[in-house]
Amino acid sequence: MRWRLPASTAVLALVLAGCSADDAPTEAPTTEQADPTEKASEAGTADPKPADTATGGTARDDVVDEATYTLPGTEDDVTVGVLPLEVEGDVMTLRLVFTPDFSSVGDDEPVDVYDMYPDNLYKFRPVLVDRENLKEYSPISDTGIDWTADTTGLSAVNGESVEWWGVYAAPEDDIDTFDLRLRESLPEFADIPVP
Amino acid sequence: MTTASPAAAVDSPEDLPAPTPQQLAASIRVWSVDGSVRTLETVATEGAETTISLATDILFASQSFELPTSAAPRIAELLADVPEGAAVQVHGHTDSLVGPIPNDELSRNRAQAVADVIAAERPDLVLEVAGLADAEPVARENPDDPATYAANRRVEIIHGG
Repeated sequence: MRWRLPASTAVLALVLAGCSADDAPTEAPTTEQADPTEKASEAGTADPKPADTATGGTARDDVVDEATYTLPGTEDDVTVGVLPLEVEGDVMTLRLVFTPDFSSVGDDEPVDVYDMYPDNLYKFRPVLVDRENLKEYSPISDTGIDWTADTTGLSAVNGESVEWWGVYAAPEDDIDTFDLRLRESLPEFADIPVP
Repeated sequence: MTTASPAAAVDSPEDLPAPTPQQLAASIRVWSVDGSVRTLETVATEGAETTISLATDILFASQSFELPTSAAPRIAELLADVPEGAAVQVHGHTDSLVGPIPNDELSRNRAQAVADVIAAERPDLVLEVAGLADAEPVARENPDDPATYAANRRVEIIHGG
């Protein structure tokens, strides 16, 4: 079993229910595990979402990869898009586009990004893995404060998108792609291109 | 500027003393990329025993025990100093969290994947392979610090003990 998603423009459906990783905090009280046989939403057939966004211009058309998952124990879906990595000087910026499709809230009720990923008892720290040179890049941090957007300070209503960002060290090696591990309980995004 | 007026007693910035180099340095927080890039292995020696710890987050995708092609040459390099015919333990470890694949099975399969590479690269070594799940953590897990969980997810190659 290889939990990786090839980078593509196709929208991929992920079965999140019961699919915590080896390291997945399945006991997290905020994300009750669901029946592993529960069917994931077929993201490719989901209703198209409007292009306008909660951040005033986040363009889902720009994403290099995208996946939709259902939060465990709910019927709340989230689509996450990965925008092209940006490298400038010593740093690299990762931007993710979150679009909620929550059945548990009204269409006018904003959803925090904090509530859009599983196991949110645990700190949100996506990592970029260079498996060619066997290195892992985490958000730059200083005295415990990550150089990332605060997921409790970002929100969007159903069908709208909101952008999260994190700043990482620029690649140390001449590489073409990273694998992105968004959350331990989610399959990885594979082969995210490095500009 | 004067050099003696306390900040609380002045009416304008112009009345403040010249700051010392130490004050200036302490007032700037320098963001650094240091520590944000983790490499595959850490090596620790205690007495005659050497433990090479491989980060499974880097070696394997989630719930996977398939090694990237880059792993074999790196592992071979790490074993270069192991004497001919030595006994080597290959132990898989997980954190305490449980996913679709039970931790004992996952840790055993990952240890076996590493052992298979070692057997191919160094057929002279005598291997003992085990999956220990979360029985031997090296870090106390803290939900606010994902690195503590990551530290426990590893395959250890132990020799010389």
